[in-house]
Amino acid sequence: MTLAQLLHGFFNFLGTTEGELLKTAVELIFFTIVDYMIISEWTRNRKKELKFLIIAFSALAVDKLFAVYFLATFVFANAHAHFWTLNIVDNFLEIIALFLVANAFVYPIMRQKGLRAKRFMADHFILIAAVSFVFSLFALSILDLKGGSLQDFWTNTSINVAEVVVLLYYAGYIIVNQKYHLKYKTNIVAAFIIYTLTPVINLFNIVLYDNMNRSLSVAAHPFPFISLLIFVQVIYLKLVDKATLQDSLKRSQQMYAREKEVSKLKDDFVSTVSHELKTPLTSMKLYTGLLRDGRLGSLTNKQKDALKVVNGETDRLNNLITDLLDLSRLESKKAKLNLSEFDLDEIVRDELYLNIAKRESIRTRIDVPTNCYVTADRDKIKQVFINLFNNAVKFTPPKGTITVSARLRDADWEFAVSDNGKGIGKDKLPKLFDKFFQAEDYMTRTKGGFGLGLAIVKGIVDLHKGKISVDSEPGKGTRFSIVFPKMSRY
Amino acid sequence: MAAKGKKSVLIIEDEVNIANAQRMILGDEFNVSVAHDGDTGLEKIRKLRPDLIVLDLMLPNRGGYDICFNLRQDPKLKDIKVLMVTALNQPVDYDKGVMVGTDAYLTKPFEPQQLLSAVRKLLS
Repeated sequence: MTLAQLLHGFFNFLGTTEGELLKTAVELIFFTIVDYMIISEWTRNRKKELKFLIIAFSALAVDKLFAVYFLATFVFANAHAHFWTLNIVDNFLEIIALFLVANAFVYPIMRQKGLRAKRFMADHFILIAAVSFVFSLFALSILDLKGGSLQDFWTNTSINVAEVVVLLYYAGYIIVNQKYHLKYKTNIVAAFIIYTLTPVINLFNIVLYDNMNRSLSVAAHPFPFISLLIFVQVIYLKLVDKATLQDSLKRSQQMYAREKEVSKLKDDFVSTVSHELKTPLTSMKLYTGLLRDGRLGSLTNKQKDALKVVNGETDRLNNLITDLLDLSRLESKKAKLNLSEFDLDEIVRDELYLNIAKRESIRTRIDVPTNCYVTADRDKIKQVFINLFNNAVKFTPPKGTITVSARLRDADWEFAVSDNGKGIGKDKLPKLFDKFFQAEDYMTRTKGGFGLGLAIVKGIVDLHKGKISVDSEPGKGTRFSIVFPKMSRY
Repeated sequence: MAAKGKKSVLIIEDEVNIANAQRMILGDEFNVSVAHDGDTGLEKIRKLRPDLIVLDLMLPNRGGYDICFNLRQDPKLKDIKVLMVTALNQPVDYDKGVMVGTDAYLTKPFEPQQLLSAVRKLLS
């Protein structure tokens, strides 16, 4: 037996009532499964589109149930008596079901157009019924002219006409409304058009061969099945889409929660460390203070000197801890800028820092225009200034000069601190902003510091999306300059 | 023991060493009482009605912000001066303190003299 023969035999079988029964039974099972899938999705997520699909596919399933019942009674019980009634019910249900399915598939377009579903359906139902009626009359007149059989005209021929109208109408509707978003548009249109082939072939059969051409009626059979498979596929894809979307949403939510937890842990860690390290320091400072002030009995000068050392070292330790914690905060993802507009001049003229230079007999020249308003994090910019200034004080010999300058350019503002100290060797420059880096030959042993100040400055500048650069010439001095974007585009 | 004319200060601080040092620093000029956790602190505030509270922020069972907030809600207690003393040194921590209504803020570690002058200033 060749393949062609096999196929021929199969289609022949489908053309018989038994074949039809088998096909309809399979369709019934399909629709029941699809309906179940949509209903289970609907119970989780009550979307109107799903409700529509449920009604449409339930109608299809009921139609197929009727068809199975009627074909089964026909095949197994020879129930000829009911043939005509059942045929009408089956055809009528089929056309209603097709109408509902078509509406369910274009539902997203209705939503986007802001149309009410019930109104939309009522309008289009009347339109389709009218068009179908006119075309049916047209078919009737052709049949009449040809002298063809008019038996079953209103239960069969007109139903075929109506099917063609419904399917082509909605396919056309989707094509005309291209600009609206409809997922799997092509599949849906293809399914409608493929389905249309069956009533079209049936009509040809009726008009040309008085519904007696067996080959044509056999040829008409597979198309609804194919298009129904496409419908099922579209529904399946829609549901899978939703499921994967929900999955990915859930996953990203979980990830977000975890990240939040981690950053909170880190935040808590910084606070805890801050508290734990500073508590003993506070005790040390208070008790050395009490001792030094003679509150716990009088002390010799040597004892007082010793306490002064302890106190100084406590301060040093405190500075180190503060710097480390600041750096840790700057490096954490949570580092945020607290932006405000302020006058840079106010920051650089803080007496507290200028006095430090004065104590070391260093001259300070401030070249910052008044009303130099910038938008940035005030506290952090102040820290940048303090760190750079302290650094300059450390490495400037007595009688030296530190220059603090600032100027506004079109879109940026530039801030610079320069000294006329020893300068830094070229080989040291690239590492200058690394944590714990110390330019040893630039730094004498008597100068304190942990190599964190410039790393903090760099961190703050980076957070402001600014750029820091350093120019230095051994023996002549060093100049740190920072360029910030002027407006708050951080 | 309470000398007349002396203003009263309540120290709420869970670290015994720090609390003792603070008591020594302030003891000459003020009537000082101490509480070592948040709930006891709030109880003592209600009982003693001090003129000023030296308030640590990280405390067992009830934080300093919470205590200060509670104080400001109570019409009988809302005039008590609050000096927050804490290791938290971020501007945001300071802002939180202002939000709940603290009168002053001192960052740990500090010199004895800093505490004394802050308290004197608030009570003058």
